[in-house]
Amino acid sequence: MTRFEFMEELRLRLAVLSEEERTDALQFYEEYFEDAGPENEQAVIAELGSPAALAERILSGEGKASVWKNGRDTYSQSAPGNGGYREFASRKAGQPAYAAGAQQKKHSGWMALAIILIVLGSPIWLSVLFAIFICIVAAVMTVGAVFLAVLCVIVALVIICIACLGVGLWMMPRDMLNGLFVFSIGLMGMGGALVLVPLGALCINKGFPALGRGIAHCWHGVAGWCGSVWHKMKGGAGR
Amino acid sequence: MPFQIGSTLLDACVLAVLANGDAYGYRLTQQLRQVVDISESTLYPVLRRLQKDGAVQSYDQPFMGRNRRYYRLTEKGVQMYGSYQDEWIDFRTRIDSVMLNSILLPENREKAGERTEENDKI
Repeated sequence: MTRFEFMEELRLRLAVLSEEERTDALQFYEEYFEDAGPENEQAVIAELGSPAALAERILSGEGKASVWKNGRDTYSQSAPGNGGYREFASRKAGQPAYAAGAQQKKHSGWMALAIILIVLGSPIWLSVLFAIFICIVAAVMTVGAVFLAVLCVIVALVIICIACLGVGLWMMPRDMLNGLFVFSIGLMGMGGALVLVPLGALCINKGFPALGRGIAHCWHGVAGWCGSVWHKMKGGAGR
Repeated sequence: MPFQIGSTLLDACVLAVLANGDAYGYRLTQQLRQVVDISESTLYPVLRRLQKDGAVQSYDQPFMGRNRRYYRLTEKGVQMYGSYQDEWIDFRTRIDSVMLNSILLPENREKAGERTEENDKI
């Protein structure tokens, strides 16, 4: 902290005083810096403590001290509230307020930084989001296409079976052997259907709720994870 | 140092320094700091209080192209200094009579009196 920063903060913290009193106090410390000389600037600042502590001392209008010698031990602290001994006052009254202010500044700084990052990063995260959305749509469409294909195959098989039965019956008077062969393929298809349809129905009956539950389970997992990450981020930002 | 210097005693010390001659803030602080562990931030409130009480006046004198604010005792300040001196002697005597009891036995009293005066000079 430079002398000018120190004086500026002191000026702000003495704003409650009247113009005349503030000028008087500030002039005293300006002169003090002048008389101490630029080489002692940092020493004076260190000695004066934080501007907050000094301002509090000036505002409370009290001055206390202890006799020199080993004055820096635990005894030489004044009672709290009277703006007394320097070390004590700066620790007890000045620092927390100053530190709190700094932390608040820091916090709002982080918020501003986050907002700037979000705005500047929008080309990246918007496109990433769009890509994720497209992937989900593609996955849904793929599953749908597979189902449609399976349905088509089943329909085709059913049609072929029926056609085989018809064609077999039609062929039998002319070519007994081949007619029976085609007809038997049709019957096999029907038999297969008789086995597969209940089996498929069972699978679908049991499978869809299970699939639904599975999807719901996955969704809960993902949502829970997102939620915990969000809370962590919020907690981190709040601190 | 376990003994506190209260604001009244600090006032008296400032008056005592100013009784030796007018002084500006920095010099006054340095003079007091030779004796008392006074923080640099402590003096201004004290001077301000003395000014409000009418014991001290300030005046500006040009120095190297700027103003330097000097402080001097008023008539009232001189009176206050005098009464503080009396009070201090009374106070010190009372404390001495308890604190230095072993030294201040009747037969040693005169000797001890000399000793404390020597201490004051130091």
